[in-house]
Amino acid sequence: MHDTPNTHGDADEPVEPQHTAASGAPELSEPGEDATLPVAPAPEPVHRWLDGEPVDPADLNAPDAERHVKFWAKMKDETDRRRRLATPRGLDAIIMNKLEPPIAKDD
Amino acid sequence: MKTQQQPPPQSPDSALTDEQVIERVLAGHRESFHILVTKYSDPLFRHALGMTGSPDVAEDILQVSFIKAYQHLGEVRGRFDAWLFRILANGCKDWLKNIRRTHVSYEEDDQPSHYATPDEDLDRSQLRDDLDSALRKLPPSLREAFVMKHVEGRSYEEMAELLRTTVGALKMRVHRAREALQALLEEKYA
Repeated sequence: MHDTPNTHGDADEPVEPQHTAASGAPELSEPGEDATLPVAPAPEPVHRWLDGEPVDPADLNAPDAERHVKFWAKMKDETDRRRRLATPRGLDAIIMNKLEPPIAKDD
Repeated sequence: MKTQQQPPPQSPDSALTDEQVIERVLAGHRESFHILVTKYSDPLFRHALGMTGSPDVAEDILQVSFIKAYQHLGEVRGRFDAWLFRILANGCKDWLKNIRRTHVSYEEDDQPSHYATPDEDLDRSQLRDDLDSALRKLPPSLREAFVMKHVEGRSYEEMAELLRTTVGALKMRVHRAREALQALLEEKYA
């Protein structure tokens, strides 16, 4: 069956370092721990803001938060654009044409 | 005066619940399945695109997922949308596993720019490609959590239901994904 996501690995399991075929770049086994690209973790209010929770604006203007807010504002433009993407036109008809005659219920 | 009882109005297709649509399909009205395809294609396509980075692959996985769902429609228990999502999500994960195993590059044939529009400026196009590249470097489970939260705009509660895990675990995955993406991209986009 296809509704057993646990058979497909889980984030809470350790992840083996691997190479992505697409980029040839190593996949991060422990994201955020890439020694070549250190970054200070974003303060908690930044994560809450990104999660859509109410945040005191002063917390986002704090010196330790400012660069994170600036960075994620740029990323948000792109993620918002992706959220508006629609299925290519005509794909629904292609799917419908590929369906075989219905399989009736057993009962 | 006796009023004549009017038959109940026929529900428009858009007013049908998923369960009602499924009943119709299982009763032999194959065309009713189109209602489900129309209703769920866009969010599922965005998920597949976010996971694979390839519009062509995302289309293929979407098609296969709907066909599988149709073939097993009589086995749906619980929410159809969650069941359908898991078929597609597992299809994405299988594809990712397979592409690693075979080391077949899809980048040459399926540039992310397939879904670019010509009038978009270069900076935006570059950001799109850079984000795709950075997402590919994340473990699938972190990529999945980030895409569901930030691209699909789902709540943690909804994600937990779809992925059958806890809100806390998902928050951790999204936080880790953000940190990893920022580490990969901040130098260029600070």
